[in-house]
Amino acid sequence: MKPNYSVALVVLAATLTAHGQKIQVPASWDKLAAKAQEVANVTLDKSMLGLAAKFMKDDNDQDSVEINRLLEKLNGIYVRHIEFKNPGEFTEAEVEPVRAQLQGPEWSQIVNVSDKNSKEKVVIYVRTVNGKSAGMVILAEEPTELTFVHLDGSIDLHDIDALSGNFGIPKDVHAPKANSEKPNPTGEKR
Amino acid sequence: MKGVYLLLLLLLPMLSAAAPAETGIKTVVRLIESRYSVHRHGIPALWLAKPFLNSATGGGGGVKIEEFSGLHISARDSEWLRQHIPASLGPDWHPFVEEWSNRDGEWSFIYTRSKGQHVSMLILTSDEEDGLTAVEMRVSDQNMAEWLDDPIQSAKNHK
Repeated sequence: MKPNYSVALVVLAATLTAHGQKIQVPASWDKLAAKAQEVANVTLDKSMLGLAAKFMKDDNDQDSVEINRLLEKLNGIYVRHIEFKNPGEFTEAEVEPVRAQLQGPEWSQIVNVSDKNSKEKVVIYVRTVNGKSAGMVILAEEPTELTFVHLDGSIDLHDIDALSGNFGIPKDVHAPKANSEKPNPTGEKR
Repeated sequence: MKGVYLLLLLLLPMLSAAAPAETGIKTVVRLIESRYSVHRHGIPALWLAKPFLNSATGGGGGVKIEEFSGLHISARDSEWLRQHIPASLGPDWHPFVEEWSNRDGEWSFIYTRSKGQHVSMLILTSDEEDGLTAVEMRVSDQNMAEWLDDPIQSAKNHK
């Protein structure tokens, strides 16, 4: 019996596509990292999250209880942070390929906030599979810094508040207040 | 009875071969030595400093240090190590923080392992002045909580 290579190729392509949806860190990030002054990667896979839960467990501390509840829902936290010496050393066009990789059918942009004064910008994307949250990506831009956070697992937008400031996730990233979760058409913080 | 001893003697090499070898600082040292054709330098009288080192690790203890003082690997050239160290360490160790500076060429790769009640950290760091240094140590609960709280800053502070 002849092996059916075409079927195998289709299955392989489907597997790769599915894997591609489950994004960890876009390849285009490495190009930005190569020209940055300082680069940091934090990887917390499932096993490390189990370890983190153990070390952060404190039944008397409500924050700790909340973080532990969230860690159980996650498969991984991946943080990529780069710093440039001067503003203007990276362009929007260079960040665009990172965003482009978050435009598949499962991904939707739910937050887009920018601050004119500080020139900070936070964009949050959510991955939904069969109507359920399956991950989230936070892309935070400052004039000389870029941070990419991938929270892999069934996490909700409001869970970000508990996680921000831990595990390398920027502490100034928060869920928008009620009634402002839809993408801001002007993209500006009010 | 003799037969039992004989059987044990015969089985012992097989049992030790079947048990997976423990990986850690020695594994990384061997990888570096073979890749860069260099030899590590032990630190003389390290045992004298161990009480202070244990204190510095928050009481975690088990500190092992190896140095390659003449070996300078730039941040850009560290990519080979970044790719190969996880494979050589095996599944017990988990990449935790990688941090490098394209400005001054300094870099650190940090891995963790949980075994029983203990968590160990393996830190590989390189700078222009000291060359390459590998440190393996047990981490106290307090220290690990601090690392998890702000891994990027903790890695910078460690250098």
